[in-house]
Amino acid sequence: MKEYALLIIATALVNNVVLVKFLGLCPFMGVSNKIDTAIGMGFATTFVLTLSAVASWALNTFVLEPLNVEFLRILTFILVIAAVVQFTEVFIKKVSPMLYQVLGIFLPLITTNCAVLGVALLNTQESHTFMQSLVYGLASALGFTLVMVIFAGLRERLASADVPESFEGAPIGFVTAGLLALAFLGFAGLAS
Amino acid sequence: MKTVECTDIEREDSGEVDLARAVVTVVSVEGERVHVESSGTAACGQCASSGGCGTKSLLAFFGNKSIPLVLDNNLGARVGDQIEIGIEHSKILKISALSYLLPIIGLLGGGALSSVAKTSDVIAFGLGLMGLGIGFAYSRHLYSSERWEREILPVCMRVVSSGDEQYVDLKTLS
Repeated sequence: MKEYALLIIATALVNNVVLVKFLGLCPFMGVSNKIDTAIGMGFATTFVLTLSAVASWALNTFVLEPLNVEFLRILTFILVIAAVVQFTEVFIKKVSPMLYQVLGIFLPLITTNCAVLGVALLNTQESHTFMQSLVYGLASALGFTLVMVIFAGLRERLASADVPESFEGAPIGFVTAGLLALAFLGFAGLAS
Repeated sequence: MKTVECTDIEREDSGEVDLARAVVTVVSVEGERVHVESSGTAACGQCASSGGCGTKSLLAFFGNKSIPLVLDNNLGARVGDQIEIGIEHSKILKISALSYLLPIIGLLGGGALSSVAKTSDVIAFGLGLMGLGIGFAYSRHLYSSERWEREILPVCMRVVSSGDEQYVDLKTLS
């Protein structure tokens, strides 16, 4: 269990998928205007990222490696991610149309989130086991959600701050993201 | 175009509740219930904006699917009317947490079980899938209950535009 706890800390804080690996920057900047929206997007990403990590691990272990067709990895992983997103969409629509109305909108956006593909590829690169892949995917998603919510909170405050005109909007957002990345460097050495 | 306000929007304006809103079209009316259809829009309301997150392009590619909903007709809306509906942000977060995290907890539970039992990866994968299935099933069971259906139902806030432009202000009548 200690191994998994270290993996969670190392993935979510030390090697954060957004601030250290610079993956998933589009939703990080695009859906972080409000805390509520950021949390909603975070939950949806957590779901898809974790399932994609597990599904791509299974595909790699049970199909690609035995058949010696690892060169198809990126292509098949993209298909797996798209399939997981579609499955999630169908499931939510089936469970409750209202739920789909409220939550479904984040799903197409997740298909284009490079963090999902990045985590799936890193899993195979690190030769993780099933449980390690699952924990790695979940911790990456938790790290993504954490920085999204922190950043959304900062941007909500920035919206009412007296920012120089040329810095308003995206520029001050990028400056803030840079400072946040520097702050996360403080976790370096905590776990590797 | 006539706009009919209702008490819910006043409550929202006073800052008591924080609502996510969407505009839907009434397709049919059955007694006290109204069938509406919406064209999936984002909670941030920037779907139609080209400077947004890119959802506009994705919607153009995948198609703007309409979603049927059945709501209480507390505004006396008629076929063709466009009404604004709203749901509390806190409810959205609660629904998100339950619907997305329950299957993941199931998956994690299955994986943890295999880890404790020190099984092979194939069995661990099977147990994980089983946990995921249980999580999905429980999630579905939860939302199929009437109490939850009511809980996640949005409220009709106002009529944005009347289908026949002859809409009578309900507040004036009362």
